[in-house]
Amino acid sequence: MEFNAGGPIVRIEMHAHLVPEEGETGAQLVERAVAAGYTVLKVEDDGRVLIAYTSEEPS
Amino acid sequence: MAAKVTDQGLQRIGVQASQATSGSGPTYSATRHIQVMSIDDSSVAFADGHTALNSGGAVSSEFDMAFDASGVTRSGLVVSHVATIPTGSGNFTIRRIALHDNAAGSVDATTSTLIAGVDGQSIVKTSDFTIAFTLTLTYAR
Repeated sequence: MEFNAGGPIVRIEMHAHLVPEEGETGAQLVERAVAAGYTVLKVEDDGRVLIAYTSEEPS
Repeated sequence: MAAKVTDQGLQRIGVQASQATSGSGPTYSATRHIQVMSIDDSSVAFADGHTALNSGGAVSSEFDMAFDASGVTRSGLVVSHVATIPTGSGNFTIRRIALHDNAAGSVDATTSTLIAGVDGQSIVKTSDFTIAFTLTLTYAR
């Protein structure tokens, strides 16, 4: 019987989202984000804008 | 860029799950669970032996806060932690995001509360934006 046959046991991921201000639509936030120099990776259904993401095995 | 659960972080996870009360380093405490997220501008990569944000060198700018209300959730083997940084806070180039095991009032760049973190980022935050950070721990086989 073999336990933990190699590989990580804890993996970390990070997501960073810009959050719309009150009354602001996702499209308006995208416009502001682009003007500010952010890279827009994804627009979520709730209007948040993904600007950074990682997925990496813990080192 | 690296993502790191420190030795102290693994110890904290272990002692909390088993309520271990003896041994050097973290021991069980009802109040010492993962409960705070920090952001800072340090270019130092997290290392296994780090216990504080400044373990590898001084930190110039740091901001920490408790997770959002209902900001800690689990889905399957994934535990997510969300903290929303308001417009008036954390306005610097964010290079590291980390998790801590004490209340926000007891966490700063020097406290031995570091559990895990992601480094090597370059996220510019200004007072024009609110940014929500999600740090997800997947406990995988």
